[in-house]
Amino acid sequence: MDRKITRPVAPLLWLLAVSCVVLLVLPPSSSMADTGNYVGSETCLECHDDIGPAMSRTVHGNLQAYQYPGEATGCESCHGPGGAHAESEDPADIFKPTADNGGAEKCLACHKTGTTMNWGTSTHAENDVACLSCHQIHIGTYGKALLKAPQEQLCESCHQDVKGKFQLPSHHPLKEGFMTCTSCHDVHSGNMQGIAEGEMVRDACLNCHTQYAGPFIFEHSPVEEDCRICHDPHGAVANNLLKQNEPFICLQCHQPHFHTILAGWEGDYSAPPGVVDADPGYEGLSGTSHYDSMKRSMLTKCTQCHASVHGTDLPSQTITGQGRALNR
Amino acid sequence: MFFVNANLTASPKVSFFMEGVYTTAKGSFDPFDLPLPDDIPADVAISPDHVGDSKGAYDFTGIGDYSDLDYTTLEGTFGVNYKLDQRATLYGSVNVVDLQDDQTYVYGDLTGNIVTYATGMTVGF
Amino acid sequence: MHKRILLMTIAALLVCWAPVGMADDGGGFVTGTATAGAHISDSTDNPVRVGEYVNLEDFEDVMADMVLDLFGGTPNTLYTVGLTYRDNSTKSIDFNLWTKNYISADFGYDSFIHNMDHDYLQNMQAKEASVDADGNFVPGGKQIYHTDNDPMGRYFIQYEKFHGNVKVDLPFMEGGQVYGGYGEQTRSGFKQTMTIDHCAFCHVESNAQRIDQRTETWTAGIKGTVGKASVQYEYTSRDYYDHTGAPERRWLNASHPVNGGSEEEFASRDIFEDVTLPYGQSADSEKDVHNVAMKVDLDRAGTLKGSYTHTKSTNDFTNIEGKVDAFSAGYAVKLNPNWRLTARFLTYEDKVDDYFVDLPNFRAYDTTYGNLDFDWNRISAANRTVTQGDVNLNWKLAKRKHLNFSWRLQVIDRDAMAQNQTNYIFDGINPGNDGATLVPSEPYADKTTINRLKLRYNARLGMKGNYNFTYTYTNVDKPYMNPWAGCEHSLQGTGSAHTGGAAEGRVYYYQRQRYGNGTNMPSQAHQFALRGSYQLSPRTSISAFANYAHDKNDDLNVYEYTRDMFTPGINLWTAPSDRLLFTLGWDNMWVQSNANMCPPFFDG
Repeated sequence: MDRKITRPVAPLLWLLAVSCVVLLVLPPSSSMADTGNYVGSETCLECHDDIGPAMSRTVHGNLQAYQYPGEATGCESCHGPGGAHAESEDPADIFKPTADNGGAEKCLACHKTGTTMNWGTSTHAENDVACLSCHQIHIGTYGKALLKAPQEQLCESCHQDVKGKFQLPSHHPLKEGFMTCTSCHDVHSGNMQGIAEGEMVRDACLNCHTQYAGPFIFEHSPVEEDCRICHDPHGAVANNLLKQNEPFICLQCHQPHFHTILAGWEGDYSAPPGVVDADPGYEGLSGTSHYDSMKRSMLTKCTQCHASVHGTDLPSQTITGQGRALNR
Repeated sequence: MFFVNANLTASPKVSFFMEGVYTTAKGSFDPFDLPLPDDIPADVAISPDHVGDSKGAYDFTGIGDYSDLDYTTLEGTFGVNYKLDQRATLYGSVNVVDLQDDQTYVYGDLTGNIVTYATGMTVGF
Repeated sequence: MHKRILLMTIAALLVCWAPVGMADDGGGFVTGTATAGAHISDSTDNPVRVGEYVNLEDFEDVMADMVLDLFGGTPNTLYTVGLTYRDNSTKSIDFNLWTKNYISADFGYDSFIHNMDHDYLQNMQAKEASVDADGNFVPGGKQIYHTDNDPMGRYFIQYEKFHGNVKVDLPFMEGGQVYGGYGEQTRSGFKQTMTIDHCAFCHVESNAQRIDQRTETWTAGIKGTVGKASVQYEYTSRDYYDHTGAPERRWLNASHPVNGGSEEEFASRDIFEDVTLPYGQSADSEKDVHNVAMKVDLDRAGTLKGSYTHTKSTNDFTNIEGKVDAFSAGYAVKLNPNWRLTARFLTYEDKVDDYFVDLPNFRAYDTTYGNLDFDWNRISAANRTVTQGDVNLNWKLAKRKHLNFSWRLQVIDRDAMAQNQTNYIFDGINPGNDGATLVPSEPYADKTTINRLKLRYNARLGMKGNYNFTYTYTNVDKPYMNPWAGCEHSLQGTGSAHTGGAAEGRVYYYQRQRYGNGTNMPSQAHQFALRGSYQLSPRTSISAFANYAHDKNDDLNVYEYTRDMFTPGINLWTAPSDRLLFTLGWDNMWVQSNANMCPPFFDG
């Protein structure tokens, strides 16, 4: 299989050119030019000896000089110059980042790229969630992200309605521990959908359900629109995370087959021999019918026949259906 | 959905934990009866009350029954920890998950029950 | 798979190296927990749904449980190691390494099983009733059958995921880093695959289909900060492979459902018959993504960011390509100590190749009313230009009291929200048209405009609690729908002598003339959300929430769609003594939707 690297040359060159101009024109960030009476972390730890050992076991406690954005290193890179505080021992004389006082700006002084690049315009920031709402800095726990609690607990503390959905009979395996909220969501993202930057909602689904990526010849248009038209990714009563069970989910956008208004024959039946004789593999087909059997067949689960509901390249059988019935 | 979680430290060495979640989940399709079309051509015979009429049976009142769902789930865990010393703890637990399917769909009766017994030792270092 | 083995080997070596390195340096530390145990499971009745994510194979056997969590370091490194083993289907390994010498890496592997239900197809059996000339109740012709070729089959997907990422710092640039990663997800097992043959009667056939799918993802990027600008470029390549051949089935030769005759008439309604063909195929595909993003810190003037993303997707079976070009921008600024402004903009164009579907002529033998050409040009429903922006104002009313106001505008301009089927125009419905006239498939190319207003107030109740209230109003002009969902045109007054049946000799699908809209998307939505928590005493706290939503769509042409949703919940945490801790909770979700259903007109 031949692979070609896509080259969207013109827009990329345009963006690179803009980037270069910006880089050349703008002066360095003010965060690199902090001034004040710095005393060094050793001075801090003379009193705050409870923090030192724990902090030394975190990435933050082991940063190299080149990893600091300004001249200040160690404790003072976040807390600012500590000279006055060391002198007075007054808590008011040192900056203590909190969720309410712009603590995020201290974090973003280093975390300028990656997913946190978008934090400033993220939905969480917009709603007064701060870095310290979820993270703690001095103690290395709950993985490399320095979370204050296991991820699910943190998310559920605000999104309690979502927690309940994961108890429904059909759910992604979050409570089983095989997924986390961040398997789909980018909590730092500025994307309006709460997923990774630059992605549409269906892209987040297709990362794992890639078999439905296509693009296919015969499409089901809501699949191209938004998976959530039919599915609730957090949990549902109906199987396969369907927002309503079939056939109701389908009947909201489709009319039932006209065969559904047929009355059914009461009794057993079998396929006429003349029909199946040419294909011996199908002899002996039989069934039992009741008055409502036509309805029961066609108004119970649409995907029994329309199995390729996410799209396919294989045409269905009828010409009048133009191959698009998603039966194959 | 109801849930309860409890932790009891019975003694410095023995503690118990318990978690229970009870969930009922229903999905139903209200029965409805479609009105008979009022503009059927005269040559098309319609008699919804006539079982043997092949041209139409507009009584859809039963279709909700085909796809209604009704699940009840009970999950319960009960466990005990026994602290051997500051670093080592023995544990034992039993976990029960019970699903009651009261409206069988195309998958047959999904009613089922799983019981898991677990025991072991955790060492901290 | 060899790549995964190679990377797993690297991971294993690193896992081994870390403690050794620590010992050599003599100045390291390691903390953690190790668990060794066993479990045994048993089930009654049907274990598949109740154990949806449980390996059912090893039931009634004693299985080893092993969990290892390590957090350690040497003078030059920090690392974490996580290992979990529950059974052969459920295990994981996770390794994170951070060195002071510019390199950090993480590797992980985990696997779990997903059991899937078995559809027994028992509802798919029916025979039409009819009346004879004397009014007697007799069997009719139309029949439905099903065949489950794997009635005892158990269906499951074994998921296995691996990822490995390495980052190398560029010390000459602030925050400079190059990085690369590889991720792989495999899905194996068996699933139930169905299809239908209606050459002579409806016959749904189900088979067990082996699953052997693999998704590979390669990522490479570079990022850094120069002056006030932070720039990042990332390239992602994703390949999807299905290593199984699609299952096949035999489609019968077309014939009359009752007497076995009329083969020509019935065959000429079908694209294929009397043939063995594949079904349930999932085509290999690939996706390439280039993303470049930049953020500029303007100090007191705020933060400005922008990005461009180019995505190309290809179906390797048909070579159909889709391309997306997306530009985004964002700006956040603190206007003064009490006001914060956030604005975001995104526009993207999604374009998938058209595809011409070449079909045999319908009822080719009938040169009077038949021999109709139903070829069509598929215009993708993915084709669209989306432009959206939002503005958010955050007002600090007082200490720990904030009011948020946001407005979002989104315009989705589609080439084909849906595409109607080729229609036959009847005399009467379209006066003056008295012949076999075909109207080509038409795309419904409409524009959806969404306006969303959101008001949110959140406050703290001293040091003991907090609460927030959110109201969201959404107005959608021409929401996503199927414009031809149901309801055929009336026959009354058409003058049609329509009697149905094959002998009539014309296309008689009145259903193709559907005109009623259908959707589950609202044109107006009101959402109310209230949430709060309060510490009643040092040993008791309570939290509660209630969400209510009322959606309706009154823009539809034959009915009004409505949906109401109410979701309340309450949690209580209490510690009656130092030894006893309780958490109690209740959640409820109620949703009711109303939609339309037109009685289908039967023509046969």
